[in-house]
Amino acid sequence: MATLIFFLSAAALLQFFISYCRSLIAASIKQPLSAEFATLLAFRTRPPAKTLHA
Amino acid sequence: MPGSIEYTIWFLASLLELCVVVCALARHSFRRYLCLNLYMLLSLLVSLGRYQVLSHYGLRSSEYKYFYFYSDAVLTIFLYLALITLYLYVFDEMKVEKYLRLTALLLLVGTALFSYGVVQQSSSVQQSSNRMLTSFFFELSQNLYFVGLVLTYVLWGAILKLRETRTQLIQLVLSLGIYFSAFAATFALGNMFPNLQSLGYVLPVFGCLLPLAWAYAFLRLSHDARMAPARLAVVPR
Repeated sequence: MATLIFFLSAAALLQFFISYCRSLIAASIKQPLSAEFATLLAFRTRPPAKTLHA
Repeated sequence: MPGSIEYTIWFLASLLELCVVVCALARHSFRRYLCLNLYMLLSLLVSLGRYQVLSHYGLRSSEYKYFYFYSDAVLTIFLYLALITLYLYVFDEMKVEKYLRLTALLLLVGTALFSYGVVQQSSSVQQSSNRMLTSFFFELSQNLYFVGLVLTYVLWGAILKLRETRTQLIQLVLSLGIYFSAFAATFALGNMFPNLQSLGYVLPVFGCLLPLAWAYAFLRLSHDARMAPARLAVVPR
């Protein structure tokens, strides 16, 4: 009986954990990026100066 | 006496419980989720009470054991009631409050009777009534964790089916599901391997997760925040 309860609980734990992580990600996606982070991202994704002159 | 690791986890759990109440008050969610916040407040008070009894009587004293098991049963029943209030939120528009309350009460009484039956079957004639009562409360707590897990699973299914979109409510339910299933799995593991020492550390750590998740839900998520629950399901619907 304890073995059955353990496997059922472990399976439920895994399902709840995955859904909770997804809900955390889904909630964070809607958060707007800060101005500093957006500037940093633009700086990082800008092509290097060498390619611009070529 | 417990070691420094146990005390640290204990202190952390109490601090997180306090954080839940403070965050709920700060974000005006205390009355909205009254039963959940009262549970956290009660859990904090029980922690303080346990510390008092522990420092006064010691870890191996019968006073501490009685206080620990009785308070644990009261807390589990309170958490069960908190779960039922989450049911009331989800089924709010269906006007089935009366049936939900009645079913919850019958389920609680049924679990208590089942636990009593198990304790009476396994106890000997010479066992004192105090010891039997402690065993009953311990058994009741264990069984309520499993019943809580099943009820949370059903509630999660209802959330997906009814397309409930309130992010805060979804996260509160999912974190409660993690808590119930983690405790039910740990208790089952304890019954399978009674000499497993490491379970003594696992349970208090799991105890920190619920207040952490609830504090996050109250602090970071607004009551109006919405999401599509179908995207969270492990099995695509």
